[in-house]
Amino acid sequence: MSSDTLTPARPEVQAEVRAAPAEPVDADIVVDIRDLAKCYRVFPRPSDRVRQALLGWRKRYHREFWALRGVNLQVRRGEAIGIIGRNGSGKSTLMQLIAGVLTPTQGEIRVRGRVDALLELGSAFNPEFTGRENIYLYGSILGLRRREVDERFDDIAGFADIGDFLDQPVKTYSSGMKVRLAFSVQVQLDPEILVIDEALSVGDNLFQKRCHQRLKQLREDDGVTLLFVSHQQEVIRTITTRAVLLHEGLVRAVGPPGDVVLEYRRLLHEEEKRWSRGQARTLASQSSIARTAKKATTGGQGGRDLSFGDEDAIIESVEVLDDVGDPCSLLRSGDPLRIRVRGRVRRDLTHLNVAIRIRNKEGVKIYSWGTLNQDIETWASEEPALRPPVFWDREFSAGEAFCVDFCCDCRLGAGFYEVQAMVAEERDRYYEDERMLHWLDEAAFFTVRVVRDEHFFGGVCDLGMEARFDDDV
Amino acid sequence: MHEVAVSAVNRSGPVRLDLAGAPVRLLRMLIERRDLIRQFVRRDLRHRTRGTHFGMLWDLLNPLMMLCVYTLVFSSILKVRLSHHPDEGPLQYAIYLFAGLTAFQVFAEPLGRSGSLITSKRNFVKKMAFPLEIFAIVSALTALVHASLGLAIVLLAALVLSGGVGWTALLLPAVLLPGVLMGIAVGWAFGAIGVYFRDIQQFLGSTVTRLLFFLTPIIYSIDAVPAHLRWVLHLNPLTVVVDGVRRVVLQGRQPDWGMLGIWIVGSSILVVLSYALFMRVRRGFADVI
Repeated sequence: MSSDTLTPARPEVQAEVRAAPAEPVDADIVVDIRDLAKCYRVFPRPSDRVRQALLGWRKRYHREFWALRGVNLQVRRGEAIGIIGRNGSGKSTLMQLIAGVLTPTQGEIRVRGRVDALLELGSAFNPEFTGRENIYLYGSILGLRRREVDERFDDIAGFADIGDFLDQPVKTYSSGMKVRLAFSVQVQLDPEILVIDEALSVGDNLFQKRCHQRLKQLREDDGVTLLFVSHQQEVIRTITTRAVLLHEGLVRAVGPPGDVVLEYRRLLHEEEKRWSRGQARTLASQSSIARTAKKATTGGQGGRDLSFGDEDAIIESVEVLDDVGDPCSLLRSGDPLRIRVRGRVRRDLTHLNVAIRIRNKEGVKIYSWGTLNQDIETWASEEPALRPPVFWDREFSAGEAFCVDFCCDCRLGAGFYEVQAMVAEERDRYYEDERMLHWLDEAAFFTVRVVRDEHFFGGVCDLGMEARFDDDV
Repeated sequence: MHEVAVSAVNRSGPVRLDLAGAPVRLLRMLIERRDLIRQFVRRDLRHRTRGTHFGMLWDLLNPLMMLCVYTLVFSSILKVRLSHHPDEGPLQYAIYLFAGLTAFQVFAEPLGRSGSLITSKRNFVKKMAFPLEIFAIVSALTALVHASLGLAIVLLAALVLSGGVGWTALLLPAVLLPGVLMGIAVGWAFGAIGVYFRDIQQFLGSTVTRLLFFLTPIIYSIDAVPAHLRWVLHLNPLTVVVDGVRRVVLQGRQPDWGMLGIWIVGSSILVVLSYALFMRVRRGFADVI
C-alpha cells in the first residue's frame, strides 16, 4: 500500500526536474541568489553572548532578528540593478552579503567575477596618508600590482579632480573629496561587479553626473554589472535596468524601475497612512482607509495598478488637448498644450491641490505644476487686493466634480512624454503636510515632434535662447 | 511584478575546524597575499611616525636613546655588572639588557596588539571583503623590523666594544624564528577571540606582557636560575629566543639547538592551529563587530 501511495508522486517530481534546465543554467548570470536569509542574534545583555557561547546547547539566550528572508535574485552580466526600500529594510545587509562581508544564515549566494564594493566609499583609506599613497594602497587591496595602478594613475587623478590635495593627507579632505577619490579609484580599476551603497549622494551634482555617466559607460561598453542602493528615485529610474524593492527583509517587488519606484511610493504612502491613523482618529478617515485597503487587495486595472491614494477624491480622466480643445496625442514643439484633469470629490473637502507632472521616456521629471504651486505664487504677490482667487479656498462637497486645465506653450523637444496626475489634500500651505487622495501614473501620453525648418534647438526643452556676439556683449 | 518570497530551510551546517588542509591553505595564502602583506607592513611601519619631522628615523633613534638610558642607569648609577671579571666594561650589562629587551619585543609587540588586532579594523571587517588573516602576519613582521633596527644597534655596539662579532651572528634569523612565529600565532588566536570577548584586550597588553617579561631571562641571566627550576623558563618560547640572541651576537656561542628545534616545531604547530581557528570563526566577525 505504501508503495502505491509513493509511486504516483514520482513522475511529478521527475517532471519538475526535467523542466528545471529550461530556466536558468546560464553562464551570463553573475550573481545568483537563492533563498537567501540573514539572521542576527540580538542579545538583551552583552553577558548573554558569553552565556550563549558556553551554555548555548542548553538554552537560547538571544532573540533572532531576520534582516533578510527568502531573497531570490538572478543578475545577468551588464545589468544595473537598483535596490530601494525604507531604512532597515535589508538593503545594506543584502549588499554586504553580495560583497562577501557577511555570511548567509540560510540559502546561497554565488558570485561570478570580482566584486568591488563601495559599501562606504573611502573606508579603506588611511587618513594619515596622502591621496596618492592611498590610491596605491587601495589598488593593492583590490588585488592590483603597483605597475597596474601606475598605468591608470593619471585617469584616476583626472577623474577625481581634486588638484593639489592629492599630495595632502586624506584627513584634510572634505567628505565629498574623499568620495570622489574613492569612486575614481574603484571605477578606473576594471571592476567586474560593482556594488554601490548610497555612497554617491555625498558628491556634488557635477560629480554625481559624471559618476552616473561613467557607470553607464562601464555597463554598456565593458559589461560591468552594477548593484546600486539609493534613496533617490530619479537615480533608480534613470540608471538602472531593473529594480528590487525590499520591505522588512522581504522582496516586495522586482521589475522595471518605473514600476518598482511606483510600488515604493505606494508603500511609503501606506506606511504614512498607518502612522497618521494613530494621530487622527476620526471615524470618517477610518472608513476611507478600510475602503482603500479593500480596494488594494482586489487589485487595479488588468493586474497592473498604476494608482494609489486614500481616494477621498479621484481623478476620472486626464486628457491632452490641442488649441481648439480636441483630444490629441501629437504636438509640434511650440504648439499650445492643454492638459485637462477631471475628477470627483467623495467627501466634503477643502484645501485641495490638483497637480500634474510631465516625464520623458527615460523617466526624468521635466516639469510639474499644481494648483497649490499657483496658489503659493499668488500668496507671494505684492498687492493683496489684486490677488486672484486661489484653488486652496474652494470648498467641495461630497460628489462634486472638479476640472482643472493646465495650459502652456509646449516648448518641449522631440520625444514621447508621460503625464502623471494627482489630487491631494494639503494640510499646510507649502507642501509640508500632504495627504495623497489619488495618484495616477501614466494618466496620459503625448508625442512632441520637432520640425526641421521651424525648430532649431537641441535637447529636451526649448529655452528660447539667443546668442549675442560682437557689439551686443 | 510581485515576487513573493518563500523562506528556505537549508540552514548551512557548522564549518569544521579543518586542520589537515590548513598548512597548505596557509602557504597558498602567504604566496597570494605577499604584495598586500608588504604594502601593509610598509604602511604599519610608517604609520607610527607619521607626521613627525624625523619620520622613520625615530624607529632607529628610539632604541638608541633607550640604550643610552640603560647605560646611564645600570652602568653609571647602579653599577650593575654581569660578572665579577675585572675587565668587564661599564657598557656590558646595558648592552646585555638591551639585546634581551629587543629580542623580547619581537613577541611582546604583536602580543600586546593581538587582542584588538581585528576589532580595531572595523572598516576592513564590515565594509569590504578583505583577507583579514594578513593582519596577524603584518603585525609580527612590523615587530620584526622594529627589533631588527634595535639588533643592528646591538651588533654595532658589540663590534665597537668587543672589537668583533662572531660568525654565529649569522644564526640570528634562526634564533628569532620562534618569536616571530609565536607573534603570528597570538595574532590569529587572540585577534579572533578578542572579537567575541573584548575583555582579553584589557590584560594581554599589560598584565600578561609584564608577567612574561619576568618569566623570560631578560634582566637576569638564565645561568643565574637554579638548574631544577630552568624547565619552567623553557616552557616560555621567548627564553630560547632571548638567550639565543645574546649567545649568537654577544657571546659568539651557538644557540641551544635542542630547545630551539623544539620551539620552532612547537610554534609552527601553534601557527597552524591558530590559523585554522581564525579562519573558522572569521565568518562571524562582521555580525559582531
